[in-house]
Amino acid sequence: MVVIPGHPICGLVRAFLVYQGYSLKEDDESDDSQEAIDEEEEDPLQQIIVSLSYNDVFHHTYSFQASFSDNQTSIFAHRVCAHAYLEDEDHENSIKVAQAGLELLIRSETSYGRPLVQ
Amino acid sequence: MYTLCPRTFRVQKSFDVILATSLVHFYPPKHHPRALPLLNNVIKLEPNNVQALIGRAYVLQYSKNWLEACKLFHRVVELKGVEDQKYGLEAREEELWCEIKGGNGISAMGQLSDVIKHLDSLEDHQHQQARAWWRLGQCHWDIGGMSEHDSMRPISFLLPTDSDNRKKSFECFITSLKRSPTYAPAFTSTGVYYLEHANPPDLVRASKCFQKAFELDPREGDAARRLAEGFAEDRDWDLVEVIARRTIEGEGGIGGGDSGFAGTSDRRILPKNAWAWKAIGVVELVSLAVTQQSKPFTNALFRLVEITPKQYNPFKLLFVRMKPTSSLGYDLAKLTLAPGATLRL
Repeated sequence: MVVIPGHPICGLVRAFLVYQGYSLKEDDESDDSQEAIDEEEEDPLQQIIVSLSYNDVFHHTYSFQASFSDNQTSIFAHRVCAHAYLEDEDHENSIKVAQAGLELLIRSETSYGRPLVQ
Repeated sequence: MYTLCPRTFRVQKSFDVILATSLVHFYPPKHHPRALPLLNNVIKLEPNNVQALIGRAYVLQYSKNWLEACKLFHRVVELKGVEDQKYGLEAREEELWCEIKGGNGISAMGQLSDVIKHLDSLEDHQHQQARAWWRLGQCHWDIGGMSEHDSMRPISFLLPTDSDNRKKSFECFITSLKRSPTYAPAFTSTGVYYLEHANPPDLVRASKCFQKAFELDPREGDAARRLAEGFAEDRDWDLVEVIARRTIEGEGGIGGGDSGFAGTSDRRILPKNAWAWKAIGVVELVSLAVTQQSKPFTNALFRLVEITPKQYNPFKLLFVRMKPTSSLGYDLAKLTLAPGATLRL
């Protein structure tokens, strides 16, 4: 988060850590008070979903017809989102995101030029 | 093994575990056929993957393969220890539950009490506490229901009487509800106690318990069926329909709750509560809004024929012989609702 503070994935990591119950206050001492209030008051899962929308994962998750370039997708974001949904026992969305993540993974494998060998 | 990119394999395994775990718990057991190969693959590559072991154990548990499920839960307990609140304690409780359902109730009951003591000492575990207390109650209930022909007869003089066990089970159900007032199975079991074992039977309280259980969780099929039967006897068909439709929705509807999942199995349409489909068919007939081509009616009959062909052979004959212009549907309604006939859903 310090290295890439402005990157959309940073917001996702921050939201996930808050969702997991980790306090980020020590890291945010220099931040303004409004951000600290947001951290305490907003629903962490909602923050994750909002962060995901910046990565275009949300769009992909809920619209399987959507096509997007590699720059707009993140396997990591899919993992975090699927894990968060599973923790929240939202199995329907967990299944959708995990499936989308696996599709992304297959595309990544294709970009290597050959499938993984088991 | 994964020679090109082992890290990518780990990502795939992570997705597989999440996907399989969700499939196991999403309208169980409708998506289990799809979850099982994923779980088997993960266990094959990583035999001590706790999430995959638990997922597979739940699949076996739903298929009533108590012995194998018990073994897998025991393996998780060995790996994580009972002190582990996330997996170990849950696995220990499920292991004992499998033992109880597998016929070792008396020996497992004491160990389940130990698990309950452990759970009661924890904060923010109300649901687990309620579930464990309900299971202890079920264990007492099952022991209380043992007949003289059971294998326990040689030591039956050592055991509490049936009446004592029923009372203990009732106390456990009430404790379960005190731990979590939203734990639906405890309401159902309490309702059954009031209806079948309270002296005199308390029909009003039983009905309230079934209604509460069904309000809390439409998957409470026993409560829903008892409510629907009561309303059917009163010829209150609107309420029968509401309950039947909500029960079907509670088990995921005809699609098993999947809206766009890839690679879904045919078993997703397998209903757990055949009576609900039958009830909808009967309601449609009673309302006289049905024609021979009526989709809900034919669907309901089709479900009956597919699910329990032996039990509903007469329905199968009617369904097969039914012509679009015939009046067999109305004849069936007349048969079902003949004076003096009792509708058992």
